[in-house]
Amino acid sequence: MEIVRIENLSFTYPESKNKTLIDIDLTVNSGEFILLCGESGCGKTTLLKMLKKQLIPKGKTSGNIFLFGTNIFELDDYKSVKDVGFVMQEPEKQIITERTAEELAFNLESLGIDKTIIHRKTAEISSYLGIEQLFEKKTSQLSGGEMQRINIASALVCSPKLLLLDEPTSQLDPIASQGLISLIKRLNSDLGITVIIAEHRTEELFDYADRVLYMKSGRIFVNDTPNNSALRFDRSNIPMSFPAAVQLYCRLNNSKNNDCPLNNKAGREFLQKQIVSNIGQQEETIRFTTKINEPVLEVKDLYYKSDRYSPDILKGLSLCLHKSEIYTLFGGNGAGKTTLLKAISGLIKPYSGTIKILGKNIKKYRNNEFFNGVLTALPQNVSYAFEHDRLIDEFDKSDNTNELLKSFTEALLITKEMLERNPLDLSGGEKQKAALCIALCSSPQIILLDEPTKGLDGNAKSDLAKIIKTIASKGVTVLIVTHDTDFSSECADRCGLLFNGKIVSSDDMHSFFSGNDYYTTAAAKLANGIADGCVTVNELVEFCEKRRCVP
Amino acid sequence: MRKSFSYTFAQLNPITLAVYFLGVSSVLILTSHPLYTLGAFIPIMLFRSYIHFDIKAILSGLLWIAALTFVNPLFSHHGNTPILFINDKPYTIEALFYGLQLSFTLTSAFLWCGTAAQCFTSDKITFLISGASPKIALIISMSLRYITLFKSEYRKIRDARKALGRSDSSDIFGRLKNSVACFSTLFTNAIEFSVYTADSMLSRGFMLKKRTYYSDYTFTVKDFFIILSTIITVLISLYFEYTKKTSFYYYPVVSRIELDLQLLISTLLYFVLSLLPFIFEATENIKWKLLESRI
Repeated sequence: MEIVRIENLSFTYPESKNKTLIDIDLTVNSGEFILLCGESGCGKTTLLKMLKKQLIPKGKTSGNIFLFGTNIFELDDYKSVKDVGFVMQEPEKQIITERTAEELAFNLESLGIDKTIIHRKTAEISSYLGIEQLFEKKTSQLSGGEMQRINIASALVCSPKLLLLDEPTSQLDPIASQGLISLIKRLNSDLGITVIIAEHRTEELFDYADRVLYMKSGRIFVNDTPNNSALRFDRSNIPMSFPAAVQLYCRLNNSKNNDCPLNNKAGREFLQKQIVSNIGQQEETIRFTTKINEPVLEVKDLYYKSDRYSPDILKGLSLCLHKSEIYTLFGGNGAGKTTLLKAISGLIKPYSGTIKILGKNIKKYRNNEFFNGVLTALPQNVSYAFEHDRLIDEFDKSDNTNELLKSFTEALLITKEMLERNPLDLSGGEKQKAALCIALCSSPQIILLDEPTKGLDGNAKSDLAKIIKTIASKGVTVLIVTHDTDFSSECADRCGLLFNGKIVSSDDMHSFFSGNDYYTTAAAKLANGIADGCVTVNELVEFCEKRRCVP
Repeated sequence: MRKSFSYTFAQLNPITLAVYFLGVSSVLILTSHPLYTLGAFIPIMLFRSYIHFDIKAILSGLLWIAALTFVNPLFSHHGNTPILFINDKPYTIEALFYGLQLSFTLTSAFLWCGTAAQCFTSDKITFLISGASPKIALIISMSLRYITLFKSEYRKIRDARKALGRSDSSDIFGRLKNSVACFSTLFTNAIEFSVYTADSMLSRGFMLKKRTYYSDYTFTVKDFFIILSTIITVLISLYFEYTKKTSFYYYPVVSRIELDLQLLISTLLYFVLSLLPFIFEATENIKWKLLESRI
């Protein structure tokens, strides 16, 4: 049965010259699972919003949208609320009420449904999704992953037929997002709910989806089964957001057989076949040497707890960073990553241990001197770094030499047009760049970044990686706290894992990722045991191509 | 988390709690007989000490009572029995007694209000209001969420500005300017936030139909009896008070406590009513001790 039919849809936002959606034709059948990908700003969110009557943006629309066989503008509001669930990107901003129980009941309360039915429905959903323990909690106490579960649950209480998800995992850590994705898959396979999900992280979804839609500047570029859509790409245009196995296949695309490996298991078989002819030859594993400069930041035996009777968050943590080094720090939620950043920037006081920057204890720095010229930290939400209506105004105070600003904007790929805009209107990647530029203006020796890739798409991430490398090459040390292994493999010199209040493994990036079996990049998982030492898709491609020339 | 969840009494229906606390405190405030004051004071002290025995709090409470008692005659010079003269103004024994009565009433009112505030968590307040208007209940629920949320956001913004070298804390003007800038950033972000939440509310059917309100509070026989006994006690006490049967005077001379049946019945009823939170807590405790001993 047909659930969605879009005919020839075009859409233009008011005061915009370009169309956001161009000639979209799409049919979705009942029970289908559709993965919608594409770079940021290609129109994914707008397309999803067009399918929810309450959220259709104002602007010029042409073409038709039929939902459950009815034109969407004639569709009953009640039916649209009840039958179409919509979950957005930001977990926290979608939550409306103070308590979880109220949140789950919100949809049904809005629809004027009787108390006994609400009671039954909320109980049923909580049990089905395993969120009973959250029921009595306040929404402010939930983690991002839990909030997103609640958001999905509150859409589910109305028993929707169509679930629209707009990058639901973009703000979550890998473990929480894996949990959420397997939940979404279960909703589709178990209950037959039709799902359209826009996502940058496709590693776990690509294989499962019935169809992959790839959008490019407002048009649907590819609309096919996962296998066939992968075949439409080659080494020049394969999106960074596709799974490592698919990327590898498309970039090597030598064999014209039609079996693209869609998951890591198939990817490993594929990789094995690529190098099977040279199995006898023992290749030298790729070695990368890291330059060791003088130490800039020395942290020794750091202990911290939030009050006297709570357990230690940092337990004897030690860390040493060198000049021009990029260090990425991993660790689960609540492992103390953000606490460490706060301790290094002097915002909290550890009860034992020393932190030395440039050989001087941070307690001996004056506040003004410390944050102007020694260290800067960017907050996780970079919007907090902006306080003016135009980006250019942010620099007036902190920087009086235009030359310096000019060199920064060039290095960070910030255009003149961006400088004139309101920083809050910039895209996620642009915001990061702008905030980095502000941070650089105080000419720090060390920059601390807290989850800079949250919500960024593949291309924005690799841009950011390049920028961070440029910054480091100018002599700045960068400490990044992140969950993103792929991003880290593109820019880091060294990596470490924070566990139980200590940094348990600290190694150069290649040894770190190829030494880890589980906490590592997708490419390293592919390469494990076959092409040891490779941690990015680029390296894998290089590795395979080298082998191919040998015979 | 507040301790209120451990109160057995707080698990009653919010309507019952509201009626109960209103009843007890109105008798405390509207009557002047010392027996009523004691009838409110002893049970609440018993209850609070039973939950958490805090000798420091008790001592400071007694100090406060003593201070109020001895200070009152300095300002009030009514009464027929002066014991000394300060600046040619009489320091009377009646004013001393009145001070004692006043300080006990104030302390009891303070303790009762504190207990009520601990029992009334935000969800109970929203429940009570939802009866009148589910929309206002929703607004309250949202505001309560925003208060905690924006408090923590403010802290994050302050830290972020500091770490970017933007906070100038050298003098008071710098600090003032800094907090204004923090608020301005918070405000902009809050607006962005609310636009997003508004979308979420629309997509979830807000304003589509008349709202209903869902809660899982039940109204039991226990609730019914507590409400009934509260109303009866309050009516009896207030009736006796206004027919001057239990009235008590301090000026010009302190009246005697005459133990007649009417006074005895009404104050005893009030005492037992005030004792309810303690009775609930104690029986629950005993019940659990027995259950545990059987396991």
